[in-house]
Order: sequence, then structure tokens, then C-alpha cells
Amino acid sequence: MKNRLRELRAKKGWSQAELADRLEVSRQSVNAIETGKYDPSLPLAFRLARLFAMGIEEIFTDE
Amino acid sequence: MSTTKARKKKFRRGMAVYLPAYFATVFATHLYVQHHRPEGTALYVCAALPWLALCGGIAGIAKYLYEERDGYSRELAMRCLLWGAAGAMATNCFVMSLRQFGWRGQAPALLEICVFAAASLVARIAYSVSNRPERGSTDGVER
Repeated sequence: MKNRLRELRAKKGWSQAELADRLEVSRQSVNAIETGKYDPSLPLAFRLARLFAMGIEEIFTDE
Repeated sequence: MSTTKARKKKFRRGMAVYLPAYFATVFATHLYVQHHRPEGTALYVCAALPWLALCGGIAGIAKYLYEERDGYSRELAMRCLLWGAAGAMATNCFVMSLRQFGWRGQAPALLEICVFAAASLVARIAYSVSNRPERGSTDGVER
């Protein structure tokens, strides 16, 4: 699954650690999602969508 | 501090207390059996003590996995545990085969748990290294 997390995070000027703190996950989780090594759970996808004020499908796209 | 960091810290603190307690239990049991040569029920109790200590450790890990809300951290912990279990089972299988082939020696005490810990640790390090942010940026943010 592809995602725009890195791009969206960069727009906000957040580091991975800052984003991880906002999402209450580890920095490693954020990096794993950004690099496509890990697909987030549905609750985490919703938290991301709320944080960036976007729809889930605007952040994540099925390959 | 994020809650996942707090959970990991709590788990590590728990393990830092548990592991020395486990080794102390195993060492004390071995020492007692060597010196007093218990028989019957006492022998079974002595054999069960390290097993009970191991159950305590497994319960600690299970509690962490239950409380961990960060899916990636939980998955990582599970993968490391599986590598550890695979290492311990392979060691056990090797020692059992040696015995079946007539070997009369004795495997070092705590061999399986040491292999388990080493395999888990190596897996943890390997996963951490493979999930480092890209070069040229401390955490991947383009400032």
C-alpha cells in the first residue's frame, strides 16, 4: 500500500518523532509506515486522517 | 513521552527484575539438588521451580503484548519472540538428536534460554537496523 505520509509530515514540518508522539506510537512505526514496510491498523489510519484533516483514501492508496 | 515508550520502558524494567530472578531460581534449584539430592515429590517441586519462573516471564511478555497499542511494536515483539523460539527449539532438537545418537554428555544449563535471548536480540537489532530513517536526514523530515 502506498501512502503520502512523508510528504504530509514534511508539509507540517514535523519530525518522525513528533508525528509518533502525536499518534502515540513509536518513531519506528512512523518510519515503517512511510517506507511501506508496515500497513497501519484501521484505528491508526483513522488517527492519521484526523491529524492531517484528510480522508484515509487521500493518504493511503491501494497499489 | 509517548505511551508506547512508557509501555516499553515498563516492560524492560519488568524484564530487568525478572531475568536475574529467573537465573537465581535456576541456579539455586541446581545447587540445592546437587547438594541435597531430593527424591520423590521434592524432586518434582525442584524441577517445577524453573518452569514456574519461565511461566512468569511468559506472562510478563503476554501482558506487554496485550497492553501494547502500537501495532508495529507488537508485531516486532512477536517476530523477535518467534526467532527466539525457533532458536531454542532448534537447539533442543539438536541436543535431543545427539542423545538419540548415543551422546552421553549434558548440554550446558540454561542453553535454550540463552539461545532464545540471543536469537531474539539479534532479530531485534536486525529489524531496528533495517528500519532506520534514510541517510542524509536524521528522521526523514525535509526542512
